[in-house]
Formats: sequence, C-alpha cells, structure tokens
Amino acid sequence: MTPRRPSLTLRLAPAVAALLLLAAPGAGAEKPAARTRAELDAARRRAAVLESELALASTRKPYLVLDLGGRALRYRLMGMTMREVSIPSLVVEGLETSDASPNTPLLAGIFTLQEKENDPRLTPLSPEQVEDGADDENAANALPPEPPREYRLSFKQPVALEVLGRETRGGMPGLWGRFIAALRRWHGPAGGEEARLKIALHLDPDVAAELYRSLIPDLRLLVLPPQGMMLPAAGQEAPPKPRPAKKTPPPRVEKEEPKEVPFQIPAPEDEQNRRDEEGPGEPQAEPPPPPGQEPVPAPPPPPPPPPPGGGKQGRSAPPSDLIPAGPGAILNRSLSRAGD
Amino acid sequence: MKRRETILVTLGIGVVLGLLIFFGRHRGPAPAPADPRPLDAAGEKELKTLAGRADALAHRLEGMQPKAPVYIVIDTGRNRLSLYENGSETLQAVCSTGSGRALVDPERKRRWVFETPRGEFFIRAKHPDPVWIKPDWAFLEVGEAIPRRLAERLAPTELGAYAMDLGDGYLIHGTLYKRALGLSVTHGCVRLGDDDLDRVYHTVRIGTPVYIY
Repeated sequence: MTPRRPSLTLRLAPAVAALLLLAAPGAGAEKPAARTRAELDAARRRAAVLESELALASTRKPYLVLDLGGRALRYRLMGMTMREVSIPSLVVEGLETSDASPNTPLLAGIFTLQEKENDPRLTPLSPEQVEDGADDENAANALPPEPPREYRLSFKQPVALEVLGRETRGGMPGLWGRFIAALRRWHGPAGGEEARLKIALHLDPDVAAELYRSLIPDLRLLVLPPQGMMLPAAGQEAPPKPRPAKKTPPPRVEKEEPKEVPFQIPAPEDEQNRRDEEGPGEPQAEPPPPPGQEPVPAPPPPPPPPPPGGGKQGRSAPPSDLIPAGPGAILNRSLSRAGD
Repeated sequence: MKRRETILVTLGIGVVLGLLIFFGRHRGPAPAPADPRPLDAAGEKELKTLAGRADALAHRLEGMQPKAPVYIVIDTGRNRLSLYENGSETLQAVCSTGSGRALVDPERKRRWVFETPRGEFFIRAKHPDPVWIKPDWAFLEVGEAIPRRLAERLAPTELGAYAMDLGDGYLIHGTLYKRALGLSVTHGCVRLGDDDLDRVYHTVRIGTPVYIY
C-alpha cells in the first residue's frame, strides 16, 4: 500500500503561513530608520527655495535661478522653467559652511541686478551716430554690435558675478585655454574687496551672449548654495510676501474676424490737414464704419497711457512730452503710440 | 642629446600639469558633510512641519503656471518665439526683439530705451493690415525733423500684414527687414517673418497669454 499523498491544501499550508507571518504588521519588517539631521537640512533647503520661488513667481516677471550645487542656470517665470543651461565650471568665493539652523536668505538668496557691463542703454546714441545711420537696420553696416561673451554684473547687494564665455576645445588651444581659466580661478572672481559673494561662471560663448541679451536692470537672481554650504550675509532680500494672483482677463469671443478695421484707414489728407491745424483737442468719437461694413467690436480695456512708440520713455520726461493724439483718434491712439 | 631633450619636455609637461592641478583645485571652505545623527523629538516635529509647508508651497507654485490652451513664449536672449497649443510647442519662430539701446532727444530732454518688456502679457487686440503712425523717435533716430502733419507719420507697410497688441505700445508684428530677424534690433516690439506671423495671428485670440523672458 502506497502512502497517501497529503492534499494540496495541506502541502501549501506552510507557505501560506509564512506569507501571513511576513505580512503581519511589524513582523519581518525592519524598524524604520530614524530621520537624520541631514534630512532636516534638506527639508529646510527645499522650503527656503520654494518660499523664495513663490515670492518671485508672484511678481509675474522673469527671474534667474543659479543652482551652485547642480551647476545649472535656470530662466524661470511664474514657476515655469523657460530655459535651463548647464554651467561647465564655476568658481565661488564667500560661501560658508552650513551651521545648525540657517535662515532662509542664507539658503536661497535673492539678489537684484543693478547693471551689466557695457549696457547699451548707458550710452545713448549721439546725434553724430544717428546721422551715420547707427540705428538704421537698412544700412548694411549698421546692425547692432554682438553682445559680449565676457562681462561682469553688479547687483544692488555686495555680490559680484562674472560670466566667462569660453570655447571648450581639445588639443593644445584647449589646453592653453584651460590653463588660462585655471589661472583665472586661482586669481579668483572679479568683484573687488567689497563683494561678499563672488561668482565666476564659465559658459559656452553663445550661451553667455544670449544671457547678456536677456539681462535687464532689476532682474532678480536666486542663488542656491550647494548642500552643506550657505550664503554669506550679503544683504540678500528676504522673500517678499507673495502677491495675490492677478485675475487673467478672459479671452473675448470674437464673433467674426473683421476683414478691415476702419480706424486703421487714415482719413483723407485734406481732412487730416484740417485736423492737424485744429490741434489735438478732445479725443474724437470712433468714425462710423464705411457703408456696408460691420461695426468693429469694442476694443479691449484701454491700456495705461503708453510711451510714444515701443521704446520706453525715461520717467524723468514730463507728460507734456508725449506726442498729442492724432486725429482719428481714440482708437488710433493705440496704434499711434505703438510700433516697432 | 636626444635623451636630454626628451627629459626636458617630459619635465615641462609635468610642471604644466602640476600647475593646472594646483591652480584648478577647489578653494574655499569645504562643505559640511551630511549629518547622519538621528533627530530628536523637536527635530522630528520641525521636519514634519517643513514637509507640509513645502508641499503647500509647491502646490501654490504649480497653481501659478499657465492653464490657457494656447500661449506664446518669447526668448529675448535667443530671439525666438514659441507657440504652445495644449501643452506642446507647435511653432518655434525666429523673431527680433528690442535692441536695448537708448536714444535721447537733447532738444526736448526726452530719453527712450528700446527694450522689449519682460513678464506676463496678454494679446489685447489684433489688427490686420496695420498702419503705423511713426512716433517722434522714429524721426529723431534717422536725423529727420519731427513732422507736424499726421500724413507724414503714416507708414502703411512697415508693420507687415498683422499686428497683435501687447499693451503699453508694444506689438508683435511683421517686418520689412527680414535679414534682421534673429537679431536684437527693434525698438521694443517683436517682429516675425511673414509665414510665422500669419500662423501666430490666426492661432491666438484676444486674451492669449504671452510670456517674455
């Protein structure tokens, strides 16, 4: 008589029991590791960065994030990364070893750009340059000069940033370039004695030029120190309180795209001359549409008084300097100020 | 003699490499190493608070990002305009943005800075066949007298086939100067080539957001 084999249920019982034991709460599982101070430090950094970012994003203006640990420069706007460039090498002077509980501005410092080196806005075109066609893009030799590849940026705080756009080449020229760069690193970033934080960024030359074009005064720079380090007290701004969100105007539903806009068709010259002689006067009503044409839908809410033309006029200029509204008039005003 | 030269060259290379290593080394304080010590009760409490706060901040930051199905992004550094539809970039166009130059009117003590504004804007109006009424600076910068008659200010073809108003006098429009596309040459407006302008004009609506950085 052959021994009877145990049933399938009996054969699986030990395995099921083992599984149940493992699944039992606390059984077989290791006790969760205690949180460390390093994790607390990382959490502090994350909260500091987010706090600063939220404040900067609420301005609805672009800002730069310089991540020294991640060697990256990010163009950000309203919390979106519009562009990110990697930094092949950088030199920083002034960082300090992180202490027990650093404040937010030491973990995520906000600095405000004051001026970029050789900013074209600082040297207005002279009448002589104008006569030579310096701003006439039709003239073959009058295109704007290439932006610099190496330049310094000064901030409202005692911080200096130097951008060095250099080719990373191989062979002897590359070796020489790296040697010069090493010498420069040894010498340290520019910025003078008064700068408490000095940063030199080595970027691709094209990226350096593009960055130069993007920089305008009052642009905010958020500097993030690497793990284990913190920024010096260099007058960095505490994150401002986030502004309440601006209501986005709902898109207006256009019933039909107008084929022509009457107010854009200038009035006959005789009439214009007569209006010119009369002077600006009060804004006139919208001229009636030509016969057989649909009336144009009302324009969107009028913008604040714009400068004459695309260029931004200096604040010092008195309002009387604004050119008077042309005839045609209240609707023409938006175009008369605009363009190019 | 040959052997001596080899030794000298080798020594020279060694010195150069040594200098590179010496000069290229990291200077400044060393970062503090990650602290592996366990947290006490207060530390645990702070960590929990920070985690909650960070999550809330990240949520608020995410909420600021655009929800509009169509929006425009303009990169003034690279002179590129991107059109986004339903989260995807459907057009990347070469454009021209502000030169950043300044112009002064010494007679009337005026000063203009030809910079494209940065930040969030909206399409406020759309104009087909726009007629540009040239402002004073357009005459000053070419050394011409500022005309008194409106007719002398009109430039019917300068802005191309379409113009989209961003407010404050800034427009996205076409151009006669195609060879300047990709360069920072404008007076603050954003210029596009004909085909790209046509595409953008017929895609955006009044109220479409425009992000300029």
